[in-house]
Amino acid sequence: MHFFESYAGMYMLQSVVHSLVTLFIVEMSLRIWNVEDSHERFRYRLLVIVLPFVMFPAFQFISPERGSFYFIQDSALFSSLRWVRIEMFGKMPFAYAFLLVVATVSVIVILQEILPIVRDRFREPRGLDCRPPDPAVEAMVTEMSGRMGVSKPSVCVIEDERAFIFTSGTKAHTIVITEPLFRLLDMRQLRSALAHEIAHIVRRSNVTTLLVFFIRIFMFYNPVSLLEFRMLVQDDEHICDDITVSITRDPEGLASALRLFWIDMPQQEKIRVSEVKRVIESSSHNLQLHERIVRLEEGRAFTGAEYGWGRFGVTLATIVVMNYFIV
Amino acid sequence: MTRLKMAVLFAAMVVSLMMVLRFLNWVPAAFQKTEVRRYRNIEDVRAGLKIQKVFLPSYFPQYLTWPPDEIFGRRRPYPLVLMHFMNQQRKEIALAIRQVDARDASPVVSRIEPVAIHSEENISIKGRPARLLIATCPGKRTCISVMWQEDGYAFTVTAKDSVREVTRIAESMISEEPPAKSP
Repeated sequence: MHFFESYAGMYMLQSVVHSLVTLFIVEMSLRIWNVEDSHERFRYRLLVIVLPFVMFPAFQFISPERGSFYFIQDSALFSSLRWVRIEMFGKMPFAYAFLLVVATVSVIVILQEILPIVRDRFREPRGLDCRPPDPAVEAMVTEMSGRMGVSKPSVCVIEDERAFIFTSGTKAHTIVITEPLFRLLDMRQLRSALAHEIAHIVRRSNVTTLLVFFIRIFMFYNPVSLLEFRMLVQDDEHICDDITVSITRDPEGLASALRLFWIDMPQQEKIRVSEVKRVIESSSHNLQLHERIVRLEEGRAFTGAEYGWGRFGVTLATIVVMNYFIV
Repeated sequence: MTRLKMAVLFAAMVVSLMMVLRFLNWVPAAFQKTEVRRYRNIEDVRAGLKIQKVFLPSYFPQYLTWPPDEIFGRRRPYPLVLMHFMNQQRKEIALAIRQVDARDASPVVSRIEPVAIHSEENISIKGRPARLLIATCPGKRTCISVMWQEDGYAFTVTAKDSVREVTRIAESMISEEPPAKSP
């Protein structure tokens, strides 16, 4: 198991342990500091993905002796190497368990994230048959983008049997809406849905998500990054919900619009193996939607709480200092 | 919840986490014989490692403190005993004695392990072939290292002292002349 003593092995092992410790500190901090503001929660959760990515190389650069025998003996709070080196009946169960988890997560990330991107890259380019929206929708987008202080994005209506709305682009943005959405949403709901998409443009969500996604892909083996990325995306949705409500003053309009994106689940008792992936994804989608709807209905959005830079700084410093002593 | 209460809770969380990590760090060291552990004294090493012979010098310069400042030991895969002795005046480690199974290819290094070797020569320690290094140790101090093998162990004596003194310390660890080789 000399792999764990190489730079790559130490990075892999320590970044997973650092992620776990950072996750624990962040989640406990959110509870202890009673952080309700979604912007602030997003920043805390960002730490769980970004810090483990950079901490190990930074620590090793500052102190190359950090992984040495004497650092472990004298200063380290925890040495992950001690656990992977544990021998039982001539085998190394913890090293194998770690490698099993890492391999499983890697396969999930490759199948779920990397392969679809590669497949899309080699697929025949398919242009969007785009039509401009009705003047009423154009006016709505103009008004709301003006109120949010961003230049008006273009709006593209496409033919598709599914009802969805999303924003594409990282510099020049386009809001893409499918035809069925105009039949399903009334003007009040459509206004909320458009405001939510403009909020994503205001926050540059696509750029942030892309950067975080790259880190996540780089740490393809890390189970904590995999889970935390989803929570981060959900926090981003909360922030955009909050911005939407602050503009429209209509949480119920957004909540009712969200309800229309609910995916119907198969009602049969037995689910076929081929359907498992779809069922899991749909359940996860519905769960996230439900959480957002409840949050809007209970008025938890738009708290206007004071931003706690002090407590954020204390949490950040605690994470960095503690992880320095975890090798 | 008041800010003070939040701060106390946060501090309690940090302390609890540190304690849990410390405990988790202790578990493998306590139960694994392959882990290098710290021992309090020579008797503990003999009992813990089940090593019959822990070689110690009978010549011991007066500026050094006895007992050793720290002793590390490991039972498996290869037995190891590593002792560090302090200089009384300078309050720094001045002598390291390592006794390790000769088969161990990468044993634990001492705190004053040479970082740059200036010269190397073959010498004889009570008739045993040995190697003498003049080197720079951590802290940019000159140090001397003497290495030889005996009873299946590889010995290394490193000290921030003269060649003569380090050779005397090494020789004092060997009680008898080597048996005469049969013709």
